Amino acid sequence: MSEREKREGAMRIFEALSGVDEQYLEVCEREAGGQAADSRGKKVIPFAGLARFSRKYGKFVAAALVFGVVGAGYLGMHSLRMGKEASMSTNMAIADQEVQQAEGQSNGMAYSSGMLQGEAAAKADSSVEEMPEAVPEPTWEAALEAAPEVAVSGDSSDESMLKDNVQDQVNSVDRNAGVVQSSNSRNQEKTVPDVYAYVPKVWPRGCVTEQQWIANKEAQSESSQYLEVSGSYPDRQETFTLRIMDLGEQMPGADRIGKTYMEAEFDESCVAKELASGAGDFGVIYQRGEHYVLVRFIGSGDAKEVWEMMASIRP
Amino acid sequence: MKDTEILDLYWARNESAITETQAAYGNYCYSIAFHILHGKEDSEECVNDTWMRAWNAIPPARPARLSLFLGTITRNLSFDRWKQKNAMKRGSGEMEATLDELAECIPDKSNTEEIVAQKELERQINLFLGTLKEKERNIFLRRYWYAEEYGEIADRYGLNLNTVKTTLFRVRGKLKAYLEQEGVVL
Repeated sequence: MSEREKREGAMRIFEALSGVDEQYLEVCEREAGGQAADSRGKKVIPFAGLARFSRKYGKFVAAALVFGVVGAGYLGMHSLRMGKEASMSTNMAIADQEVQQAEGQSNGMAYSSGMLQGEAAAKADSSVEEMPEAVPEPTWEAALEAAPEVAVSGDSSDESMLKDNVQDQVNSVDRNAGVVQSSNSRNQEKTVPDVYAYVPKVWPRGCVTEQQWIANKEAQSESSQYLEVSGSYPDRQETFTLRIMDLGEQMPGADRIGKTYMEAEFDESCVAKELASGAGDFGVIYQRGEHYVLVRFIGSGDAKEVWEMMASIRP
Repeated sequence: MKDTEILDLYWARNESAITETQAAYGNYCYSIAFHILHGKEDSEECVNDTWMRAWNAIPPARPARLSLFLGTITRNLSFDRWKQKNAMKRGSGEMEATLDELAECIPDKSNTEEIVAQKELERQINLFLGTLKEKERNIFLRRYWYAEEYGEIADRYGLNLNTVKTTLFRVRGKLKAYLEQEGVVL
C-alpha cells in the first residue's frame, strides 16, 4: 500500500470518528473532570507543573525517602549498638581488670585506675574497629536511575501494574557495571544484569519510541523475556526495534540472529555495512563478568544516527 | 445559561443564542480547533463558522448534548481546513503525527472486495470502541477525536507518558485487527 493510500485511509478513519457515539465522548469528558480553559482554549490546570512532577517522579522520590528513613534508622540503631557494645566492653574490661586486680592483689600485683581505664578504652576501640562498615545508602539519583518509566505489555495498562514493575526496579544500582543488586542480595551477593542500563541514551532525530517488556513463551531460540523498544518517525516510514535480552551465562550461538558483534569489535563501519541495503538485523553482545546481554537491532534508519544510538549504550 | 435555554434561543431565532453559545462553549470549540490547526486565526475562523453552522442547523435539530454537537462541527470544519492547507504536503505538526499513527490501522489486505461507505465505517468504529475498556477508549478519543498531544493526555488522566504511548500503540493494533476481521477496505 502506498504512502498516499495509507494517508487517505487514515483521513477516512479520522473523519469517521466524527460519528462516534456521543455517550463515549460524554464519558471521556466526564472522566477528564471538566477542567477550565483560558481564553485561548488552553486548559488551565492549577499547579500543573507540580502535579506533573509529582506524578512522574513521585514514586521515585517516595522510594528515595523510604531509603533515607530506613538508612537513617539503620545507622541510628547501628550507632546505638556500637555505643552499647563499647560501654559493655568497657564495663567488661573493667570487670575483668577488677577480677585480675583482685587476683593480682591476692598475688601482690596492683593496677592504677588510670591504666585500667586506658586498657578498657583500648579494648572498646578495638571492638569498634571490628564492627562491620555501614553500607552506604543509595542516593535519590541512583533510585531515580534504577527505576526508569517503562510500559508493560499485556492487557492491563493500569497504574497499579506499572507501579509493581517500577517498584521491582527500585534497587541499588551500580550503573558503571550495568548490574543490579536485588534488595535482599547483600547476603547472597548475587547480581543480574539490569537490561534497562542497555537502553540507548541518544535517539535518532525525530524518533518516537515506546518500550514494553515482552514475555516470549513460544520462542525456543530467543530468551524468554526481553525489553523491546520500538522506534518510529512521524515524518518518514522507517521503523526499528531494539530487543534487549539477558542471556545469562550462555554465550549466544552464531545462528541466533543475522549478525552478532562483540562490544569491543562493534563500530560505525559495522552499522554502515548492516544497513547498506536500507534495513538490517544485527546484534551487539555485552559481557559483564560472567553475564551476557544482547542488544539486537531490527529495522531501518540512517546509518550514522543508528550508530550514534548504539554507541550511546554504556552500561 | 443552560443548554435548554440556549437551544430555546436558537428556536426563537434570537441572535443572542450565538453570544450565549460563544460564552458557554467558545473555549471548548477553540481548543478542539487549535489541536488540529495549531493556528490562532484559523482556529478562530473555524469557531466562528461553527456558530454559523449551528445557527443554520438549529432548528430543526435539537441536540441532546449541545457541547458534543458543536464540538463535532468544529472538528469537521477544522479537519477540512487542515486538508485544504496541507493536501498531501508532508509537514510537521501534531496532525501529521496523528494521521501517521492512524495509518498503522489500515488493514494490509481484505478478504473481500467490498467497499465500505463512510457511514458503515463510522458504525464499525463505534462497534470497535465498544469493545475497548473505558480507559483505553478515553485515551484513544483524546488522541484521535480531540487530537490532543501525549503529554496533555498524560496530565489529564494522571498517567505517565509511556503508559499513554503504549496504550495507544496497543489500541491501534486492535483497531487494525478489527478492521481486517470485518473486511473493511480503506
